[in-house]
Amino acid sequence: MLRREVPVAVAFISGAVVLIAYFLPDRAINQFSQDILLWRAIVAAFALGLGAVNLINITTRRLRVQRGGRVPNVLLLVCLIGYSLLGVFLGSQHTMYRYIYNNIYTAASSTVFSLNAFFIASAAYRSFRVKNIQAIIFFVSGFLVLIGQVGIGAAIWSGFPRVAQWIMAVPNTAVMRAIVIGAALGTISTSIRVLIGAERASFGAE
Amino acid sequence: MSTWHERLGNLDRRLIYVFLIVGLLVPLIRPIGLPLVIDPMVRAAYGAIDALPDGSLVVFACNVNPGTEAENWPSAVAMGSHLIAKKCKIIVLTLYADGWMYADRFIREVATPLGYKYGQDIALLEFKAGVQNILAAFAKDPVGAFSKDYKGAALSSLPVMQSLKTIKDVKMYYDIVQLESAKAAVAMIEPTGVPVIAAATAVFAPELAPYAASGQIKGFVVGLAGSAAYESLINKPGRATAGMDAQSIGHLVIGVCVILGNIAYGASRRSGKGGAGDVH
Amino acid sequence: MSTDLGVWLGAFMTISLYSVLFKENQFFEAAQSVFVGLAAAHTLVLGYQSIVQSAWQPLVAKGQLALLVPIILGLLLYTRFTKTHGWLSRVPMAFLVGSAAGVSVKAVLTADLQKQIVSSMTLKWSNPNDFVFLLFLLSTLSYFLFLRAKGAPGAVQAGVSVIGTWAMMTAFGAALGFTVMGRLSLLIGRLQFLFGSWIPLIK
Repeated sequence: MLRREVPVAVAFISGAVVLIAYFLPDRAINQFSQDILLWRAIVAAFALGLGAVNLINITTRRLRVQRGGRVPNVLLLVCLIGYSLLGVFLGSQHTMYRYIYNNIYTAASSTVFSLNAFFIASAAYRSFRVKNIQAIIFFVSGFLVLIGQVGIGAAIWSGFPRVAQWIMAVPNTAVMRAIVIGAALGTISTSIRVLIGAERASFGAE
Repeated sequence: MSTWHERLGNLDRRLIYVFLIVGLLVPLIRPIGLPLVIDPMVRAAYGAIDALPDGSLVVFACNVNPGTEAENWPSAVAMGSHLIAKKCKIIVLTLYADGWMYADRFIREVATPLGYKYGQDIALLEFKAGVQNILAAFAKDPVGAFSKDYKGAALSSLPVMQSLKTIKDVKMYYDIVQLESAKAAVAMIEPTGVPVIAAATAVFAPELAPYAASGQIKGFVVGLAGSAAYESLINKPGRATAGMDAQSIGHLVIGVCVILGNIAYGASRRSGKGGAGDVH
Repeated sequence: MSTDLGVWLGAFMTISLYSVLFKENQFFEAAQSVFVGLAAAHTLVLGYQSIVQSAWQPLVAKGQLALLVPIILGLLLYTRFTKTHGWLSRVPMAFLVGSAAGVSVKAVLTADLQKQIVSSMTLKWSNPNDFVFLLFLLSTLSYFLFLRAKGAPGAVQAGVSVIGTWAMMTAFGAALGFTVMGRLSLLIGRLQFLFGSWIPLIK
């Protein structure tokens, strides 16, 4: 029973105090709410290390089981453990830490994200098919926004930027507002379900 | 023997990649000089900063990460330079681990060369994990939410922090957004009466448009195009402006890819052999 | 060509990762491993620093014993890696989820519901742009929330559904345009680095 009810109670107390503090001017509740928000930052900081620990677990298991392809896994562990020790003992403002971050990590991360540009070009060629009226609206809208945001659109016709701005200001904003409102209703219902203990899957309870 | 539309529809994707790289690289090496489009929301962001009284206290949420650096770093430089030209006192915070390194870079590469002294004119708060909860705590009690700067010094020892007692002392909240940080700023900071302006990567622009339309975000700089527009408004063309010709040609390349792919598809369907290049 | 070692390291990482576009190879796998390792390490280091500054130092130097609560909760997160005591990690997870739920309710109530609805109510049906806006807003809401007007004829329902679909296609097309724009910008940034900083062809 402890395994089921304690997490639910913790979720309720932490959420209810934060929520009530918004509506009640009581000093003690507001202080407790502020403490909870700052404690959350500390617990979240612990959670930041979970990914690294899990990665070490998975990689060491892979090294034990796998026969070939060990070099990437060893490299991953060396970088993970080495860079962590560098940051922990010398600090993230140390020249060496910054050097590795600015020259190696930033380049790698930017490159990984920029790979999407190639995949979009390939998808544009091979997968974007105009098969029906909805697809036509989709692509015309996308094309007008693409062209209207950049100089070549303005150079071809001065109206393209205005059309793109209209699409953003009217149809796009209307639809996105509807989605925001719908999502807000969903968020409120899910949050209330979490607070009353009806939604336990989000923290791993049965 | 394969027909022209089958060959066209099944073009090697590596050729498409080369076509894209060449299309982007040529205008980077030999700029064309296409005009810049200045969006009304970029003008609004510029106007909001320009209207600040000199010496105003501004909070700059530097949430750049390597995946958004190409779009957001130029706007951080341009809008940050504008704030510095207005002699604003800047409190930098970051809600993400990667943003912390860019915030540090902003202080060293942008603020310091423009004459700003750390502690006197600008400060970077310690990193705390969490987005909504941190901004909620900051909006309620900015002095209590953070006690140290990123070097571990007590905030009370920094002159720039002396003018911050409550959230109402902040005259503007400038956020280089991730989607979650933008929604948190709109939910936590904006209701306190502090105007919020944002710089976002283009991917988030449609989702943040409703907040701009309702006035919850007062000005909005989107992607590389927005950064280039802002650079032109402050008369300091930089990396974003240099990339805009390539952006234009890149958009044309994507458009040509869609058109060519559909020509091959349409021709294949008409010839009765099914759609060329159909992905199954 | 640049003589800066840092630029060469960045260029090497960039080209190694781009090489996967042509063929899977060992350079790509090595670069990918380095990236993943550094990313995880950086997050861990920032987390550690935050814990030391926000929790450990105030606890030890100022005797703020209340900070033992989040420290213990944070340490309990790591029990998930054990077999017998893994259930204890649900307690800090519940704390994180519960407090987030509390913050979210107030956040979406004002920012996402109240202000968005009030902003829509100030629009005028007589203004053509506002008319289109309200039509698209209501038809999309109807589509997402499965709203059905009681007693409305089927043709009206179908019409609202069609308008909602067209509105969404327009918006998603715009989203596609911005996504393409954003991704191309990242590639432009990398090309500016390779051919501006590394091999200076771009002036």
